[in-house]
Amino acid sequence: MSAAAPAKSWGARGVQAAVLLATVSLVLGSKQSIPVAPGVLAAISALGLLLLAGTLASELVEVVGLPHLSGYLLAGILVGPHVLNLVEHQTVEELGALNALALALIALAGGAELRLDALRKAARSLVWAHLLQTFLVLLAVAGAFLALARFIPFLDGMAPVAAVMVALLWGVLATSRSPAAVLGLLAQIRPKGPLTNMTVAFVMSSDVVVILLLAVTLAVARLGFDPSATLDLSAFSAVGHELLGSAALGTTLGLVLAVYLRLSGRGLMLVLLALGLPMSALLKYIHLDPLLSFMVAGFVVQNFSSGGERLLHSIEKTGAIVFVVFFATAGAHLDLPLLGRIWPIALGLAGVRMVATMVAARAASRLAGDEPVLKRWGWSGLVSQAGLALGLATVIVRAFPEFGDGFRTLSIAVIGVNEMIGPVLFKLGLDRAGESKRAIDESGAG
Amino acid sequence: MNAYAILVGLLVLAYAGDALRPAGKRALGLSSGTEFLLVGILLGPLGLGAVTRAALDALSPLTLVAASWLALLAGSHLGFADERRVPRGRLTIGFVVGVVAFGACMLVAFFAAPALLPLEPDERLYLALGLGCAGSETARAAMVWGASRAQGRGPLHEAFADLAEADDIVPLLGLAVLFAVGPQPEGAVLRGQPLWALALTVGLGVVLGAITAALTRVEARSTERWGILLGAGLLAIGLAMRLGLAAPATLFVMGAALNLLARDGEALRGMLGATVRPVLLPVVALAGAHLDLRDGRGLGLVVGLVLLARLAVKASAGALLRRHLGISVTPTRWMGLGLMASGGITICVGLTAAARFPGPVGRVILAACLAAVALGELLGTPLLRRELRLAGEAQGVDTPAEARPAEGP
Repeated sequence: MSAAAPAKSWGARGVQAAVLLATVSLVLGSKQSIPVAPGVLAAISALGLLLLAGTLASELVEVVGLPHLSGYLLAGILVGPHVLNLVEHQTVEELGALNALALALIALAGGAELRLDALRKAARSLVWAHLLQTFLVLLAVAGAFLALARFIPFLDGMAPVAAVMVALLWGVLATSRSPAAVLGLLAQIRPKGPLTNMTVAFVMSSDVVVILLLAVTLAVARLGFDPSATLDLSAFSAVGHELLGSAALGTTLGLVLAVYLRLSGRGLMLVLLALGLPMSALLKYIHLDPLLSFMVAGFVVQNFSSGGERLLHSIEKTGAIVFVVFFATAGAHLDLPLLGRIWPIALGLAGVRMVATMVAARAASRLAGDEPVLKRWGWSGLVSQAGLALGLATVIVRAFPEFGDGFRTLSIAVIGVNEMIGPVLFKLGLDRAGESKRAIDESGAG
Repeated sequence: MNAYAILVGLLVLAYAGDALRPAGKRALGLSSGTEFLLVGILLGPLGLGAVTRAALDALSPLTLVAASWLALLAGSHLGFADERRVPRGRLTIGFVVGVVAFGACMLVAFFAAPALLPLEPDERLYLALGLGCAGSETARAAMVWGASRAQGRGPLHEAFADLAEADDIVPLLGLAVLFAVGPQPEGAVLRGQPLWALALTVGLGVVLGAITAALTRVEARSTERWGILLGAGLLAIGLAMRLGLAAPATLFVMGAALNLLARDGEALRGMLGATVRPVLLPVVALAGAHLDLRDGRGLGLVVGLVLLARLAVKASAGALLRRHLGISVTPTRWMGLGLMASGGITICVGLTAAARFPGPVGRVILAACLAAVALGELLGTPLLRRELRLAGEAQGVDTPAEARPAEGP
């Protein structure tokens, strides 16, 4: 996204609100008079509407201090299948390929944000943070899950050991974070400081930790459901293949990009699109992790070539479009009726996760001897969850179809809650830590 | 080759389009991008068959989006040549020449086509309208590029560019009429209401252009502006296609409204102008791949007659108007042939019509559009250079890219 512009007048906000209303009315009118079957045609309109409505909503929520990501999500919810139904469920699914591309660009930018010297400096903090954020959050959330077991319908009649296994899987899901949400917010407010650096480093590297943790937990959980089963080591082999393969492909892609940036660098965005589209599809096809691959590629370009800043700048230029597409689609995906049905449990589980994240962050900062700002606000960027968590939930559901539907339902609801409150908390943290543009401006003015 | 592979190939072509005009180095390629047309024909079903009809059909919506985007660019540039306002007199002359060319091509097709092609009664009118569109554009970008490669600078060069700027509206309005009178599916809201369809084509463009202009007035950041432009553009395309309207015509009107109502039109034109070649060249290649000559000799004859009509109108108009351009030099009587260049809008019309009318009507219109582009390259550009040379405005030396004027479609 572009550098922050001066605050807009109320007149400008009025124009934006009026245009949002006019656009939504126009599409609503056309949809009521000419229903159209889902397909590419509907996807084109939907993409246009999500882009326009997302951009406008993000500007309007700025008035109440919310981050742009919240605006994108709200726009997606508003025009999505559960409120105005201007973008139908199938159309949202059809925008998936575009979402994969958006995620690839986000991961590439995320990798390029990781600087080796900063990682070295923060190594001690990162190790403590990963240890506590992983195990404390996992255990606390799994404990809460078990405590709420009688309110969770799909645990009815389940053997105690099996219920513990489901709780552990739920705990693993809770340890995943949202790189997209963190990077989206960074693109909007361009913060600078230790909280920003630590959050980026933690969130990007947590992808690897979560994948490993899930593999171990899945293997153990199988034992809980089937006592006759033996520990299946092939799962670890598959994870090793996924991690090493993703890193290797990411390194190759990073080197290719570095060479290209050195030789020419012209039309970089077209090159990224031409590489990103087939790479995303290929990685999915050969069961590698696109997020990790693109992150490694960005990391290689940033730290082993001189083209890192150029790459970042080029991706940033597409920020308004990439993040709108990603989060507005996520908003449209949000199952509001479902959330309405199980909101007390979803809210309870999300609340426990948030508190556990906060406690783990404070404990890790104390042990690592971090500066006060990290001790106080280090947790704020770790609450968001989005696409990665949903992907993990799908893997769990596929591995255990016996409780899959219920697990999926609950996970969508809780991830939805975290998706909505996470960016707000991170922005609050950055503002209070004095790292956001607004905070810097205010302190400069003062 | 599947649609996904073609999409990546198109991105590579878009890259090539951008790379063919490297900063500070000599430009490569033909003025109209005809070489990309040939690449498309070579790879398409008529050539090596690497790109199949099924794959082209799968990519068809994307093709229409790109073609409509070109129309938006043309609309946003209406009345401007190299950020210079085109004098009203020249706008009028260019527009009238475009209308006359449209009428001549349409009449020739209307009377000749039934004897040469097996057409349904209604198809005669559709084909005539489509061929009128195929014969009425003068591609400013192709002309400016062609002239600038010969270091063409001066009043005659400006006059050519101005005349070419004025007539984009003619084929796109023709396309709007073609879609309005064309067959609508059973139960469609606008079935049998061509005037309403035409009004909606224009109205939708005006509304979305006004919306975009209002938003860009209060938003100065460039990436947010891209979100607004892309969002409004895609929404307009989607709505127009849903209503069975000519999306390129709607986008053209949207661009013109934006041009008229935006506070900083120059900046917006600059932003949009940067996308011309990356979008245009893949579209040209796709158009080449879409070419279908199964209608044989009849197609060839109809296309030939239409191009002759275009040639005759341009030649006569040049001979009549050469003394009324208000410049110090008087061009030769053949100056009109220098206005033969066709480009993005003609191809956009051809692709859109081919998608809307999948039978002989669409095939012949697309073939005529592509033939007009090729003829413009073969005839228009050399004759334009000749006129400039005779007027003392060209040295016949290629110009570095940075000296080249900004492009519009």
